[in-house]
Amino acid sequence: MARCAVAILLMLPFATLLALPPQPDISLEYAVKATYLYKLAPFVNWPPGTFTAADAPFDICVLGPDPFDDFLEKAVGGRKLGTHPFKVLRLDAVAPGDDCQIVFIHYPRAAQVRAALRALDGRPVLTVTDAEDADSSGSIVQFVIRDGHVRFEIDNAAAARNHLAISSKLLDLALEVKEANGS
Amino acid sequence: MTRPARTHDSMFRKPAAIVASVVLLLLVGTFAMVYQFHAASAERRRQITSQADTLAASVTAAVSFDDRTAAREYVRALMLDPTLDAVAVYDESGHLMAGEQRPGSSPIDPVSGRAERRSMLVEVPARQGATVVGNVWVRASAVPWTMRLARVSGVVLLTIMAVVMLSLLGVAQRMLTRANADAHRRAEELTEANLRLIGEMEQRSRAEEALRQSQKMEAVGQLSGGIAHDFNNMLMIVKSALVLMEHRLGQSVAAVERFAEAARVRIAAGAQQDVSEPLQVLEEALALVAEGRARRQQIKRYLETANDGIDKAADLTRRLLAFARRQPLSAKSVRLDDLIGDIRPLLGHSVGANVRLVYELGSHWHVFCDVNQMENAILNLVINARDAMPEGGQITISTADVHVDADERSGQAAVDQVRLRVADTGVGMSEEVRSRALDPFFTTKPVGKGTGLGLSTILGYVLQSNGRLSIDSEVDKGTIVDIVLPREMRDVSTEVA
Repeated sequence: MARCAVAILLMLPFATLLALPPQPDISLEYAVKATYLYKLAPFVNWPPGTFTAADAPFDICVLGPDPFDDFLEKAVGGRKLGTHPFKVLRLDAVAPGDDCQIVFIHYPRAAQVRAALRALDGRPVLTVTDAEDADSSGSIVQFVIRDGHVRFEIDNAAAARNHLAISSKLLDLALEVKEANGS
Repeated sequence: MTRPARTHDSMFRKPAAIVASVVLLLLVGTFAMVYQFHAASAERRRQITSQADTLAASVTAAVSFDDRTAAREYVRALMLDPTLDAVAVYDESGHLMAGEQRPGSSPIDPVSGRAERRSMLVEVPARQGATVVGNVWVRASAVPWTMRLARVSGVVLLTIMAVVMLSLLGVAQRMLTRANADAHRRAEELTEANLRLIGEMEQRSRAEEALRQSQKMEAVGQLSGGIAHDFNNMLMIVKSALVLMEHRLGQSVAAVERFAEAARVRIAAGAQQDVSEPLQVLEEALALVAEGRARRQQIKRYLETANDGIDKAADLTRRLLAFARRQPLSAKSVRLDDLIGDIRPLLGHSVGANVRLVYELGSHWHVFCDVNQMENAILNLVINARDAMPEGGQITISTADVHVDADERSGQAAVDQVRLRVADTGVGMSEEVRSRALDPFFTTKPVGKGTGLGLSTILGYVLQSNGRLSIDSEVDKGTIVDIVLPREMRDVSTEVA
């Protein structure tokens, strides 16, 4: 696991080099991430009481400046998790009344990210960040670019704090998994 | 003769049942085979489906997050199962995530795969919770024919064994039936042989009875024949003595009559001369002559009686001789109808007015016999019949030509015969009487009225003529006497001459 982390650290500059420079690549990257966001939903065991009604929407919220353009809307258009249709919300800040299930935090500053994560800590919310963003640590899922592919790391401890159980299949696929007592 | 038919029937019916059983068995065997094929196929499909399910369940994350490496690893892991031919994982938009196939096999194409209705190709959606994230395709490698055959070999073997056993059963049944039929035929042959044997035994016993009878007759005949000759001789002596006696008697009568005539003349002369003394003597002499005449008359009657008796005795001896066949027959060819026609007046006289004589003459063939004896026999039979009908009745005399076919069983050759029948409507005979009717000296008539030689004499004559005599009688139903003589085959014209 440690070796993995080292590898990620070594690869990180190349990944950013590959992912960042041309504009079309960036939009493609976020198009993939947009689909990953809603695709994460089935691999998470949402605690009872997550939804207020059987047809209550599954809210995917984007905190901070939206990098997805309309990819996210396109990706979730017409899709459902069970009986819950996906819905995209864009928020500037975390408010107590928000009922987001997945929150993609994309603040440019680390302090904002940390604040948002703190605000969401303990709530049944799957927090997702971009690994190359300012200070993305503390979120449950972090997107990373590996070999030109969008991959992710998972902080299982953070998930446990938020009362979420992540499917082992997803954990298997993660480049790195932070457990509660290790890593 | 329903039995052979039945055996034939059963011989036919039972193999049919066995053939039906065999056909049924084969049908059931085929059905079981097909069923087993299908069951094995369904089982295999279930296995593949469950393998596909397993893959689908584990590959969802890799599909969702486009991790082809992970997906390929899952696919490779599944392909370790050598019975699988190809495995493919597609994402929800139909892009191939990972696909593996055995060398030489074509990769799975979902478009043609759905059209392809192969039983061993299954498609399973990869679901994470309720969300379908992709599809998993698994194709099983074709099961070799040897394997499939091995799978159904149990049923095939059982069926074949059952068919063989049934066939053996059928063959055994057939053989058994045949053996049964054989045994049945043999039993029938035995029964037939037994019947034949019994028939032969009866015939033999009849022949023995006849032999005994004829021996008895022979003995009686010889005895009576011997006696009859001597008796006849003695009768002749007595007869000649009687003749002489009569002759002598006639002579003495003539002398006495002469003397009486002379005496009467003298008496007439003396009466005129009145010589009473000597006349007295003459009259006394005449009286003596008259007395002698009366006595002679008496003697003559006795002689007549004696002669009569001797004649009867002679007749009797003649019959005895005939019975003993010592009497030579002067046989010639004759038609019985002609013979009976000749003696019809005689027969008519011999029966009383209250007996009707009916003739049914229908014989054209000739027989070889002694005419006198034959006439005598018929007369005797008619008289017997008459005596059996003291109240009157009817006597039917009939003749007929009879052809007797050859009888295989008794070895009797075909023969032509002429039958003479004398039937009456009289008192008939009991079986006991009938069985003894032909014995010599047996008679039912009162003592002195019958000699008991009538029928036995006829029998002797008939046997001498190579014929047969039979009596059929029942008490109160009358009696039928048949005389059967062989047909005379010689040319008739020579007989007439």
